[in-house]
Amino acid sequence: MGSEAVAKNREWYYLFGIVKNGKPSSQGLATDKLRAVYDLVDASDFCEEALAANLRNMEWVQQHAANHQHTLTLVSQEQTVIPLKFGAVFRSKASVLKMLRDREEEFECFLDRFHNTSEWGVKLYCEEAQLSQWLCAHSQPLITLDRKIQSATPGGAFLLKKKKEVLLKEALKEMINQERKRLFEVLRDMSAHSKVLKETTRELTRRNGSNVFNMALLISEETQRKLADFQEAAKVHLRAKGMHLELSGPWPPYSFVTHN
Amino acid sequence: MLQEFDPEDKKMLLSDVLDRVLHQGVTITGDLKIGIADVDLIYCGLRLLLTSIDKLEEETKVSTNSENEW
Repeated sequence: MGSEAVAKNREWYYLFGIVKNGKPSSQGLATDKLRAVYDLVDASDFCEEALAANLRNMEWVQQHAANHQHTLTLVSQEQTVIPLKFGAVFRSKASVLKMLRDREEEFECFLDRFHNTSEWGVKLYCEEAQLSQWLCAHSQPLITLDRKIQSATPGGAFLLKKKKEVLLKEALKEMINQERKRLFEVLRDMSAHSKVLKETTRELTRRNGSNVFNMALLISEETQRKLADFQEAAKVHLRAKGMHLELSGPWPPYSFVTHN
Repeated sequence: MLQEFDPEDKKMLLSDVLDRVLHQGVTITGDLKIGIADVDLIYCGLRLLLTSIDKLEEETKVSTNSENEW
């Protein structure tokens, strides 16, 4: 990660994040109050033609996204950092410094707001087959229906099974909603800020079960322990229903710096 | 040196990293025009790639199950 390096003609500045400046501003890419976390990148990778091709190369994108996140993880271990979205590239030091000065007030506000906090992701997964089994064993209407199916004529059983399918679908939906609501309230109450995110589709999670709830929390270090305890306590209750809770983090506050 | 994504890092799913790095965080207008459309293209590309892998696995599983039923 560059700090004192001077960009050569064909090296540009790739910015990862913004931090408070604790050094004299003549050092690195910084004003009196703010410092850019950056690296020098090869202009031949980021010029328009090359970039168009690179953005179609999944491995290139994956590596650069991982590098972006890894850099911010290292920095956030030392101090609060405002994470930037992928692709903040500047050709000159002067243009970076201008950007820092133009947006100084808002960056300072973010840095104060997020001091001593980090973002954590919470995802709830559900394996519907397992939850269905649990419901058939615990839901009275479904138990009663099963008994009727067993003593019905073939024709009657066929119709009752169809009814069971509908009831089961509704019961699944209701149970998932109940767990979502319970989770949302507990997590919201333990966080400084929280945000419900879109569920991640199965293709991308590559996990067993569907992601049925996805939330980002902004929490202090002390609350991280509370969160871990909550996950542990919820395990048994959720496992029986084919559900599990997954935590990810700590992240810099990506989900809470909503600014364009 | 670029950081390799570690698929064993259970805390950080690739999809979570991409969601955050590509779609969240502060947008800075640098000297390059990486527009939202470009970023969406990256994301769609990756989803298509993973979808096609999953579909292939699913089709293989389905044809195996059908053989077992009869």
